[in-house]
Amino acid sequence: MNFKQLAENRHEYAKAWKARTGGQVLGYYDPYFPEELAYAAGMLPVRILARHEPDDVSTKWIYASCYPVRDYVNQFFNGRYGYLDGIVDTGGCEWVYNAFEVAMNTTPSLKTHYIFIPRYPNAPTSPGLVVSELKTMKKVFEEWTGREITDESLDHAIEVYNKNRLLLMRISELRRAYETPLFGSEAMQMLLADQVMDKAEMNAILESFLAELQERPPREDRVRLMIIGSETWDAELEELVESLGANVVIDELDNGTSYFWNTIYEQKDRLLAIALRYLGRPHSALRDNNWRRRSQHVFELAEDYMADGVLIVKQIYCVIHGTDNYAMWKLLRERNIPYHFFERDTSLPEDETRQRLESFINMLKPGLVRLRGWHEPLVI
Amino acid sequence: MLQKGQLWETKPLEYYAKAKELRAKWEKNAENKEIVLGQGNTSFVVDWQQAFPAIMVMEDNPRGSTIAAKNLPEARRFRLASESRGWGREICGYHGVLWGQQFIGYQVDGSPFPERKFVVPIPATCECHTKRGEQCKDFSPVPRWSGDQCVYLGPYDQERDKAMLDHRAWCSWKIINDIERIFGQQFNDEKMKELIKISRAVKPIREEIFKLMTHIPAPLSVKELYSTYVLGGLVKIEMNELLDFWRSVRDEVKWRTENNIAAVGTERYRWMEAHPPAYYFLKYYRYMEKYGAVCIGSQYTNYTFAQLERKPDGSIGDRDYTFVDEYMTPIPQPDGSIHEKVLYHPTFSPEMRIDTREDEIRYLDGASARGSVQHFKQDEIYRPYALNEFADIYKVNGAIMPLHRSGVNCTLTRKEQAMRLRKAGVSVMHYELNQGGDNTDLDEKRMLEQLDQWMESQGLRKLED
Amino acid sequence: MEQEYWKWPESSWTSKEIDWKSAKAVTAGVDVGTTGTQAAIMCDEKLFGYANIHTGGSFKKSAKIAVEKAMGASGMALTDIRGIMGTGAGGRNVEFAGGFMDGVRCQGRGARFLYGPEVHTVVDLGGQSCTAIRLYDWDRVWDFMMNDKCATGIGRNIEFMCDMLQVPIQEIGPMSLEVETDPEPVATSCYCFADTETMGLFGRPEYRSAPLTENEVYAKYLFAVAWRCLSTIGKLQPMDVGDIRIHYPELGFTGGLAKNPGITKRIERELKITALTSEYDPQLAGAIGAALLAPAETDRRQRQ
Repeated sequence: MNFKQLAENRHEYAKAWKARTGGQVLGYYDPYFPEELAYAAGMLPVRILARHEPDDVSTKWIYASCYPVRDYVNQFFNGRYGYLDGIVDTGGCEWVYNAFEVAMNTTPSLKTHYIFIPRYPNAPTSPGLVVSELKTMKKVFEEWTGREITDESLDHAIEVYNKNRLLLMRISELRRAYETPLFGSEAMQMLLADQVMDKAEMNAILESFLAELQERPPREDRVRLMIIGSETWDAELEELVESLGANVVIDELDNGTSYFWNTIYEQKDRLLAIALRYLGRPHSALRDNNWRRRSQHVFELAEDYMADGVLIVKQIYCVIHGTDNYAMWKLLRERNIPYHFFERDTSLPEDETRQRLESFINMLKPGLVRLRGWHEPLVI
Repeated sequence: MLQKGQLWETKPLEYYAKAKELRAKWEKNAENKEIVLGQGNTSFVVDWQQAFPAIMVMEDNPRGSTIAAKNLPEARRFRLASESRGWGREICGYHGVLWGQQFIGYQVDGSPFPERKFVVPIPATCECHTKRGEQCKDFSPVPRWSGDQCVYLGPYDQERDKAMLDHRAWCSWKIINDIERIFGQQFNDEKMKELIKISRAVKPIREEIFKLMTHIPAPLSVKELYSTYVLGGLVKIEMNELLDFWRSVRDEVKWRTENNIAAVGTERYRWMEAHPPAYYFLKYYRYMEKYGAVCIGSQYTNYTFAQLERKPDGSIGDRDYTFVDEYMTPIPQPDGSIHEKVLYHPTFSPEMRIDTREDEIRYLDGASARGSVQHFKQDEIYRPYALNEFADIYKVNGAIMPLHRSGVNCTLTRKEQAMRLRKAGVSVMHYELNQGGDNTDLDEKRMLEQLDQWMESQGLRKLED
Repeated sequence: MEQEYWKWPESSWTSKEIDWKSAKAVTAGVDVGTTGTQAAIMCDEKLFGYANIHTGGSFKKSAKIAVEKAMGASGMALTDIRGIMGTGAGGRNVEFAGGFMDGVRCQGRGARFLYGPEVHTVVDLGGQSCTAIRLYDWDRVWDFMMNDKCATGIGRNIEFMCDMLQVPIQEIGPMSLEVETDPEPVATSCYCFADTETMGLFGRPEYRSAPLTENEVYAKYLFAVAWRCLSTIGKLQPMDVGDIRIHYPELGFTGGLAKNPGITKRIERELKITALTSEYDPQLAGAIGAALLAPAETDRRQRQ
């Protein structure tokens, strides 16, 4: 399955979906956006992803933000997301809010909505707050689409999304094994494609992919790495790691495994069920407040997936991960898990990053990085 | 007798001595060993910690900025300590400086860093406080509670507002009740009621001062405002004393406006600022005065206690947050009972009855999720033209908008705001710096050159030339 | 000819005492960096020859020239060397090398050769990067940290600034140390900011009572570079896990900037340590490390 192509053709896909169904496409920035509601309203929720493009607009509008957020603004003004009917912001990080604000203030025709998902998700009042927010959002979506969101349509959406999460989880489980048939780059591309496609369609693809994976021969066992840190929008890092003879077996990224990690347990109050899923997911650094769960989750993933080392990759100007690093470093040091920290932006400086990765992989397993066979004859 | 270039008479401020005295008193209070020292922000409305017999909550921002302004090498070292522990370079300088002390283990004066016993990072002012406050608990397991900064866009929505306020009220309730439980201190509800009473009395006084600030010539410039800002909003002192202090400030400012006594005698150009200045390079205020340009404040100073707005009839008044609205919210009381009562809002309204602890907490959190408690930053989120209104009310000619490379809330929407101001005819100058508590990237010479050019573009010449 | 202030002196040396023909193992390491290329030839783990030259436009050519200079007039040919290991940013371009090893491992190994077994922290102050390495008691890397994406602390920029300031690169460091007290550094997060701020310091702004002396300007500039390196060193794992204080036991500098006391002395002062010294050129550490790692790698890979 060529997930890379699916993820790269996301704009064409959304446009074709729109032409085919006549429905509306809804963009969102933060994975805390309860997509089920939009899906139940007959809309296609797509994650707005950054990409590598020369940026000639954003400095006019935004200063000192992280590069993905600049790229949102750049893409927005360059018409990449011209097909979007609406954008929803979930009160994610403040830089993302800035991108949202620019879109909102400059394009009056764009439908916009702001839903507040608490920063302190474990408070007993948080579910009530999210349910109230969902009720408002439901009304807004009904108004946008002119279509009532019934209990049946919500049930259907929950079913489709739950199935999607289950399939992703099953595929992810295959990465736990030694000699896994699935490499990190492919898994990341799969997740990126998943976030921009109609889930029903994606489920069919995932089912056949799962079958294909069962048949795939195991691949050579390598140094196993884990990636944590700011979100990334491509699989370049994973590809680079693989080119050096290692493999990313698990990640704890907001648009990585955290996207599908827990599921919706159905109950009569559908909105409450949805609220509890989003408040109970492995929290991003931004929302992991008060009663820390992120550290434990990272440690468990590293252990379960038998990671030899951890790469902590932060987007420059990502204040959230810039602060959370302290807890992560402390945790990994105390548990004796080797890690390497570095900063990146939307583009990955290949040579510099390769030097780091080579050194890190070599540190874990000296001599593994081999670019040219030692036994080859000397060329003078 | 006016000097050459001087347009207005000027006189030193009398309340300064009292301000210094109060500040020293507070500093001394913090050294008291009996006090349980916490970290975070309390509320701008009422200083609730005073209702506890021995609780002291230190704020991050004023501490960090003071060190950064007074001791550059140590501040640099503290920031490096934070960076070494994983904090990015884009982290707000105040926090980098303050927490660097904790990481290293000593304070700027060389004494051991007093470890905080609990953390209450309420995300008011700047949402990032929540995240920065996290490390205190990561560093050593102390109790930590945080509130939530709930905001929504669009018109007033009663239902959303209610859910958000309930959430916030619960968070505040939890803080107070848990402190009672963990530290064995009784929260004195009667004292709290007293504090609320005083805060209600202080509020109109502050509003009056900020209304007087619209006068030409400005009776106070930003330099004076920063000193009162710290005293009134952040430094916690005995509330009765605070009331007297604000009254004396009001009387003095009133007298100054009536007699046209200016803060800066050469005032011929009024400019506003957006967000914290470079605290370690405050020389530029004086430098601008050479051109007769006076800074009349920023949202950072002027919005803290009173947000003015232009009323439909053209007059200037306090912003109207009031939504007279009845609803009932049960909050479990410490004794396990459920308190049910109809509350009459709005906030600060004398009609709101304060009987129970819940009433007190609801008063703290305000009547509207987007009320004045949220201050400047969130204000811009649902009122994009907030700064234009500010410029109009305070009759400014120009604006300096620092672009902070670190500290999200200091920079968020700044460029857009500048565009809006320019459209309204306000000349805007940007300069780059790291943050108010981080002098890493401020090129002083370049900044002064920029100021020269900007002033000249405004048709002003240095008065002494 | 106009003086080229940035140009640090090239050097090469070949031993006359060691008879390479009788040596059991002759190995070489070539460290092709972005500003300098070094080659080291080892005979039975003893330094037989080295060369330290500027990297030109071609990594390949520079590598070849460096090895040839290191072999000198000893009569040695490339085919006489049992293992040649490439390292550094351009290490993969060493055509005649049998293998490639990452810079961190080579610097660590080379530092052990230079400073002996007691060195535990190695700070490689290179042309385009600053790397801090923590070693175990044996020659293995415990942890390493490279500079952030945008940083003041790089050697190439010092070359550039020496040209701008018109001060020879070997002199800027000692001159900067001739100030009574170190002034605050210039911008530390970006070398463009640092450069412009430094150049602006020669004027006399109104708020300053007297203009800065040249030495003070150099001190402000080099202090900024040193400070940037300090943040990289600080991020290394402390030796004692659980202790919040980061210890810097036995530290050795390698790389070209290790020869600039304006930077190393300032780092030492801030860390309150005295760095280890060596009779060898610290810039050779990478090449020596690569040469020392070559035989073990050869054996291991031949077994595979």
